[in-house]
Amino acid sequence: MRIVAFVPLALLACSPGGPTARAAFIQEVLVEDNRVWLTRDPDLVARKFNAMADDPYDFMRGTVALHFADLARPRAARTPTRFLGTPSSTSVLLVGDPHPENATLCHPETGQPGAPSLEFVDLDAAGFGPWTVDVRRAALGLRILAGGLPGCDADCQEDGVVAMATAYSRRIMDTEPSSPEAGRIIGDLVERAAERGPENRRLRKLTSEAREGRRRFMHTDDTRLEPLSRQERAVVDEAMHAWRNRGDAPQDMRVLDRARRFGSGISSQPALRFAVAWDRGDPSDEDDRLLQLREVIDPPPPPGRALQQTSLFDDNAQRVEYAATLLWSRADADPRASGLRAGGYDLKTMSWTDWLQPIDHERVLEAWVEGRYTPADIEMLGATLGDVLAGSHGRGETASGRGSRAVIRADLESGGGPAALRGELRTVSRLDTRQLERDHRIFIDLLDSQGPLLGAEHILEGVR
Amino acid sequence: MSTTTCMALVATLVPAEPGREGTGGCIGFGAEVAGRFTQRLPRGGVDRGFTLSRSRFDFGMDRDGAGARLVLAGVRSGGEDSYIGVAGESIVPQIQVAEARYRATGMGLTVSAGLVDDPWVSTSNASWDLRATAPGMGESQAWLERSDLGAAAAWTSPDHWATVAGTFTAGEGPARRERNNGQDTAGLLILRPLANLGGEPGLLELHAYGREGSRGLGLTRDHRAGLRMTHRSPWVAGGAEWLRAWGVGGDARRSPRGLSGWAQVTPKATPTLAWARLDHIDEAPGTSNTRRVRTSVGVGLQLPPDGVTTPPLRLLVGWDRETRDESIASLAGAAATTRTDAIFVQLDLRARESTATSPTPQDI
Repeated sequence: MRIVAFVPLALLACSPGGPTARAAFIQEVLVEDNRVWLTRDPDLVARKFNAMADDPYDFMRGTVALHFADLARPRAARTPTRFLGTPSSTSVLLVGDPHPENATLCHPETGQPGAPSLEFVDLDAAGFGPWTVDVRRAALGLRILAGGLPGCDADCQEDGVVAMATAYSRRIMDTEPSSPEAGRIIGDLVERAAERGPENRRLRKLTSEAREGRRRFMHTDDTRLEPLSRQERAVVDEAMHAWRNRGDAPQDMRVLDRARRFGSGISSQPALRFAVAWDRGDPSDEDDRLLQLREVIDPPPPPGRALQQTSLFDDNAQRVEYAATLLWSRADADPRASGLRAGGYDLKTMSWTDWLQPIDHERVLEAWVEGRYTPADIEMLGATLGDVLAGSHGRGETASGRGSRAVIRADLESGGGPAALRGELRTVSRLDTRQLERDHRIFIDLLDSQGPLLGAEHILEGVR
Repeated sequence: MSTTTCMALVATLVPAEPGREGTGGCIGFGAEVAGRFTQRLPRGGVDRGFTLSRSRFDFGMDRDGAGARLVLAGVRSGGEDSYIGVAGESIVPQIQVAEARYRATGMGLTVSAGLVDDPWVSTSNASWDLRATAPGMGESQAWLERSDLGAAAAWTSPDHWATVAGTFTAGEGPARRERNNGQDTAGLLILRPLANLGGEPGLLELHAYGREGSRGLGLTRDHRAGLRMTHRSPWVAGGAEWLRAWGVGGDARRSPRGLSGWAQVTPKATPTLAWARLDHIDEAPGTSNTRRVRTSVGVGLQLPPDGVTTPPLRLLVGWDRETRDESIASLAGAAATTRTDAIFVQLDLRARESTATSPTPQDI
């Protein structure tokens, strides 16, 4: 029986090299990475894959698991790191995916204390791992962003990466915290937050005034908000109850409306997302605010850990909350951030406000094409991101509770110091970028040949 | 049928006792449970703790050669890096084998279908008595899985001098649904050259194995070839095997190979045992500095010490070391990950019981 089918199927099975084998590897990793969502809501996964096909930057955002799987593949043709000489250096608290769009300008609301700060706000992939993995991922993100800017050639991209490595090293090695100049790209974010924040533009865009001055979400294609199902309503209500009980929310808060949110983000696009409009009882909309609720699932495990670090948190909600507490420079960078469980889901709460302004690679491209940004701005952005990442790492701790900063500093020194990091990051970011660009092309072909779910329809058809 | 010949729990690939006709029915129950405390080095984070290193329960029934077998094993839901599991991250039973089968003992033939044993893993477990300390090389390297959905057939010659087995399976193992239209075909040949010289069949066994397979949505190649030699006598058991993989876990470019050798001594005079094992893996044959070596040694006490039959319980103390070249470390060059040691204490039980049965009225 098998003999009949044996020959053609054996021929179909992938050869060891070439794009077919690579395509199969990409397909395997991405389908497994999205398996939780594939069985629950395949349409949203198809939308995610479609968004990833749009440009290499979005593809990068959706492929942390692929990057990690690639780094971990046991093969000789990899660039060996000069660092990670001690077990502690492989179990540092990581941001997980510190790409430029994750860097968000957190501006205090009018009347609130504190100064604007840049933070990696999305900590869905946070966990313990080798510090170099974060740095490498950040460098890849910067290179992909810069590579999408017309005329930003290899030198322009590399200058950004070198600046990032230099700033990272300086912040880790210096006993005094440094404050590099933020540059125009970050300056524009500050300006945007200061301009849009007080106007509460997002609230007005997404809600309309209904009876008794209470705002309601508008369910349109433009807002990408939809009414909740009964089950979803129960989840949101339980989450709001838990939020209030923990004391994270103002005790006089009142929920005005809630909705399901679609079409946001890349990597976590299929995750459950909810929007909540709330206020503190004032009949005017002065105190009206928006809150996001988002499901958090397991992160892809980072490669290169001397020991498996399991069970260090109760759940994913606690993981992201713990990471925010340590990695952000201000505890109130997002005053509404927390992790909680509701309806069997791990969720995180986030402010949804114009006071928080993420770097947007399309906006950077626009400004670049208009001539407002130059290679010097990319270099400065690299330096800023390197500094912010080092600051985050420095505030964190290792899995065994040691201060990360001292651990990274010792490892950086023993591996050859800042010059070695610059050299290594230059090389690996170039290789990672080439690989990602190749993979992006393969991915687009895969979507064409295998369908919107990369062929995962096989899994959804049921147990055979 | 007496309880000593009950085949209810015996794997399909174990010789089908040609010429020994069984009549009537029996049911069997087996347990392999091991709890372990481990201290790992280098230290950092969670480096010591208790684990359930083995929790396997076998159930089987046999009536005139027709029967079924079920193997349940505990697995940590959520896996190593996950918080998403069943009732938290509870240890849950996983069905590892669930097969219907027919054993034509007169002809030495067995056929089975369902979730069937992998022939190489199954025979590895039969020749390595310390499965509860570590799986055989193929399974521990994740080159092979315990079982797969499909069918198996095995034929053993008169006098046991040879067994030929074949499986035809989905290729995705016990934990994944079918991902492609390709099926795996595997064959195993076991020769027992000393069997017809009046010796016990296990004195010398030679195994040759081959698998043509595919895995994942991309129909990635997943081929294997292996050779093994084993010896088993009342107080010494050991063996050596070579295994080669072409494609691992959906990655067609990985073609590792490994050599494993093991020995176990169980002195007659004292209820003790000692073992040693060495696995030598080459992740990229033909390229230098791509080796991974795992060494394991240990001693044990069999309990109860004054038992009449083989004592079911063992208290084991062991040491494992794994070293790997920097170029194939989990992150290339990371010196911190090139050597790990583990010292462990383990209490493990292995026992099987069976009893003769007769058909219940409802069955007639």
